Amino acid sequence: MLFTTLRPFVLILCLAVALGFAVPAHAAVKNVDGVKAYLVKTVTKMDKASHDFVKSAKAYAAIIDAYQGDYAKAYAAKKKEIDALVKDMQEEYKTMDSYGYETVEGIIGGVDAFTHYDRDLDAGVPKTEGAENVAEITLTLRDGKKIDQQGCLFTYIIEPTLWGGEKRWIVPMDLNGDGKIAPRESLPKAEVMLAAADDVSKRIDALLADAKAWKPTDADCIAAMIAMTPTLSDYFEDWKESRYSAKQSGRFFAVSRVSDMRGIMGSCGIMYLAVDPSVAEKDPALAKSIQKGFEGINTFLDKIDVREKDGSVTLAEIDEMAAQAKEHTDKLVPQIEQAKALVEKN
Amino acid sequence: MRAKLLIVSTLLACVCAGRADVLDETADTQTALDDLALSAVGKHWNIQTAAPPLSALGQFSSQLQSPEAKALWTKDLAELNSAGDSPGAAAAVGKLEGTLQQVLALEMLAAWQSGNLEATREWRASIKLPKHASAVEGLLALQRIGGAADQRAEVARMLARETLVWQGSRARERADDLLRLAKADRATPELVALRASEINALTQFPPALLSAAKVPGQPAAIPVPADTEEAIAQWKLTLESQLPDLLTADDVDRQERLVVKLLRLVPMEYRAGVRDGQIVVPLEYREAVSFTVQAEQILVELRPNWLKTKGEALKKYGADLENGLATLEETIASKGDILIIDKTCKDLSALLQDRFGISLRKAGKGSDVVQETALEIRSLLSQSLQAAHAGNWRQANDLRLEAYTTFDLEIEARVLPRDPDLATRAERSFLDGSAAGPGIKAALDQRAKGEVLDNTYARTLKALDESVALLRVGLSPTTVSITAFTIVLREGLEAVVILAALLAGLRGPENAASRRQVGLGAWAAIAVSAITFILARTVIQSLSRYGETLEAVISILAVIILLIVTNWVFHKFYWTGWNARLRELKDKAATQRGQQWESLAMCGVGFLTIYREGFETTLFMQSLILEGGFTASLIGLFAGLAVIGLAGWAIFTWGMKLPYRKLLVWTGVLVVTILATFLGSTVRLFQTIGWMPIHPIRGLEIPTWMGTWLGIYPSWEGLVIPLLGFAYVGGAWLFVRWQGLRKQAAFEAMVQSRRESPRPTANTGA
Repeated sequence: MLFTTLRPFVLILCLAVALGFAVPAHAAVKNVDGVKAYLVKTVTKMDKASHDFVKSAKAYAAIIDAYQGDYAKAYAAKKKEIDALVKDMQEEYKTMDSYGYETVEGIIGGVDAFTHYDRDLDAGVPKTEGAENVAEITLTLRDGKKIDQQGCLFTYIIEPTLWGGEKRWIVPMDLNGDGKIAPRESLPKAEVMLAAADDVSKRIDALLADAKAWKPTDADCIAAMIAMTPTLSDYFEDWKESRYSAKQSGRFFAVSRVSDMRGIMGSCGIMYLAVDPSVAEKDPALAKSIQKGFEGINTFLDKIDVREKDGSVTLAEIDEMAAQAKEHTDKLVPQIEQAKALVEKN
Repeated sequence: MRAKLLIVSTLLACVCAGRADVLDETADTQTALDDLALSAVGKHWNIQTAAPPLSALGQFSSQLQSPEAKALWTKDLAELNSAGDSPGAAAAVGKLEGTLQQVLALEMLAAWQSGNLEATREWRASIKLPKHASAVEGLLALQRIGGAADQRAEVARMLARETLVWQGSRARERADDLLRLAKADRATPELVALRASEINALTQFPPALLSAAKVPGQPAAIPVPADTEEAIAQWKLTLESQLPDLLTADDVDRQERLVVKLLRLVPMEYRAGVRDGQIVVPLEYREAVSFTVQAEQILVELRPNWLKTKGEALKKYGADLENGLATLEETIASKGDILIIDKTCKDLSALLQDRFGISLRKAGKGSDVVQETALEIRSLLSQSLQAAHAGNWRQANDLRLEAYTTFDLEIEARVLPRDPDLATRAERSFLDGSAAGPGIKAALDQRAKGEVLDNTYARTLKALDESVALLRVGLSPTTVSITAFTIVLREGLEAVVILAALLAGLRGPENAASRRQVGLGAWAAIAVSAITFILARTVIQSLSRYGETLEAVISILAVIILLIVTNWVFHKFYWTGWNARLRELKDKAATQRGQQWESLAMCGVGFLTIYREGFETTLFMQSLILEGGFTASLIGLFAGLAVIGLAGWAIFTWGMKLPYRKLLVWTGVLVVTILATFLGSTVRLFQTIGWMPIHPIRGLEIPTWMGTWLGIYPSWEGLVIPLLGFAYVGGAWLFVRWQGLRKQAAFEAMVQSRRESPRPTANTGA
């Protein structure tokens, strides 16, 4: 009863906090060097998490190995340790991806020098899904078997393995002891975790080195915004798929895709702040409109988040939200192209 | 719950807005409409919970200045206020969503017509855009033309037309989306009411907007369809067929060719820009992206016309076209396989040529060639960049020159009168560059690599884009005449001034023959210029390609002739002013030879001084006539000729009144100045066509007018060689003086010796 009464106010508070926090995070960026600083800071956090992830994966594998690969025996004997390690790996994954990578994906996916990281870490698909944008990821497991071009590390390998979404790489297990094994109730295969952790940490090391060496330009940021802003619509489709489609995809369990959308649009917004002074100097109205466009998308995503947490959204509402999301980005892309025309100097 | 959220979001929007202006108010209005749409679609419509957003919508009318906009908004808002249930509310919200875009466009036009540039920009920036909106040209027109009164109507037309294209395109996209929902059995009555009403309102363009865009007619309102796939499909077809067709037959022809050309260029650019899924030349990659988007934008613009003229093909293959372009866009975005891009582009080209009957063969009157020319220049520059990256410097420079000559005659000539700074900046980006970085020629001479090279080409492409954007705004006849006038004045004044001064210097019956020869040369040059003009229009269209080279040859001849004239002036000055007696002592044969050379030189100076400028003027006039029409160009041409004729006459008259010696000094100074100018501009031409390297002087900024009028450009060659000209003139003067003094001394010695020698006596021999 109390919760029901307070819920509107909690939601109001969430929305206000989301709106309030959106500004200071962006306000620090005043030029392209600010974008680089933000990127390096975020990737440094990801890098630390990736090395913690390697340690957790090794510790987890050591327990499983101690029981000769018998997951049931290992879980029966070391339930607390295994639960804690799986939880640690999940949190490290979230730090790497949902709270790390996704908040800089607009930059990594959009800046030409980094796009291969986006393909291999977050966006690349398995070769079975077509010839385009196939992740160049081949993991060699310790038994010599290979996971060859089965998609990018975050979306297709690590997350589905940690959250039980990919049958090939998990061991179904009754974790809560209710005598039944629910659809995603499982433990990740240790060899998959080891190989994935090793690979992801090396890639993030390389990404960090490249981020530090990056010499950002206005053109980099603008091209990245033009490339990444329209992806909001794709993310919306993923969100629908992961949350509301009758046939779930097995992906995006870690956090809602709305969080990813907020991250990616946030990083586009940050890049825009870097070029905003140059645009505002020549066309204040356009500059303000683009800023408002990014803010509007964030506000819109916050509202969706609130509605999602509220529980019931009809299909018709989802379709209308998808259309509204597309309208937001559709307007922003040509506006950024206009900003590009103003900013580029002879 | 939702009601509270609605209130909260509206309140927050208001709180967060800060200083409310057009953009804030429009954003709040849009947010309120989006919330109401969700409420109606989710079947939670309740007039009480809708009160805060409705109030926000009511407040928006206080921002409106245009009576037509205000009336439109108030009427449709009243409909929403009286909506009783969710489907009714959905229809009213949808209608208001569409109306909002019309209202914004009307306000933009009203602000523009009242001369308020900032307000125009604010209203324009508030309008919703489709993904592939072509909006840069309008932006740059506002940026460059600003409040220029003579271009106001043309810019208004451009702004109105772009909003018609945007909203027509949005209407079509939203109708497609609605049809997809219907096919997926997800088109609820509320969704259909919302979307169809919005789309209808988007296509109900207000008369003021259509009138500003110079588009006749008004699409009829179509009733909202039932929520079945068939009904929606039928409604969509009817609606699309009513969208205004903004293109003339020539526009259609040109745009169709352009889209096929773009599809040919995309794989070339992509191949050069991407290897093994990695971007190796960002500029080339960006060009591939840009050309794809441009192709998509053109198809959007062509669609209303095709619905009328190629309806069957569009019905059968329209989806294939859209899917092909979507595949192309996705493959490029993911840096996919070039083979897919190649195949997609070939398929699309084949589709356009075989099914839509598009031919690459140029037809029509050939006007408005700017966009096509720009594409050609881009393609040449792209090939030049590829050649430079491969280390083929000579080929890179040849391609640069070809791009430059195309730019010079087709685009720079048009830009120059409208925005001289842009024209100069663009031209310099092909050559020495500016403070922002080296020009292409300089970069190629320095064998620049990597990012420096890419950025150099990018600057030129940017200047090209700006120029094209500027030229997209049509020219009024007055502007055409002024442009022609400016061209004639700029090109002709220098030549006429020097000729008038020379003729004044050649006064007296003893110079009648020389005057005749200068006149003969000048008249011959005018005749040859006229012949060039006719030939360039009819027989040798490709002459323009060699324009710079021919001009360089003429210029070097002009420099030689001027050197002869300079020499002659000094001799004349010395002979006439200092020692007239020497004339009596001239060797007869030598004098005859000298007179022959003098005649040729006089004739040559008349011819080359005029033809050097006349040749370029005829080519510039060709472009102008194509763009602005014959009559207006001719008026400007004759006005320009009249003014320079007057200037020539004034100088001649003034010169005749000067004492002869003083006039010769003036003529000498003028000739030397012109010689230095010729040398400077000839060096520039040599550098342009690649006959001479260019070494820019970094940090040295020389005003544009000094280049135009004095031939001074900021490169070492451009500054040193004219100085050498001065050195030659000084040396020649000293030499003549020394020679004269020597002869004078010899003469005086001879006179003296004759005086001193005893008179011969009578023959005494018998």
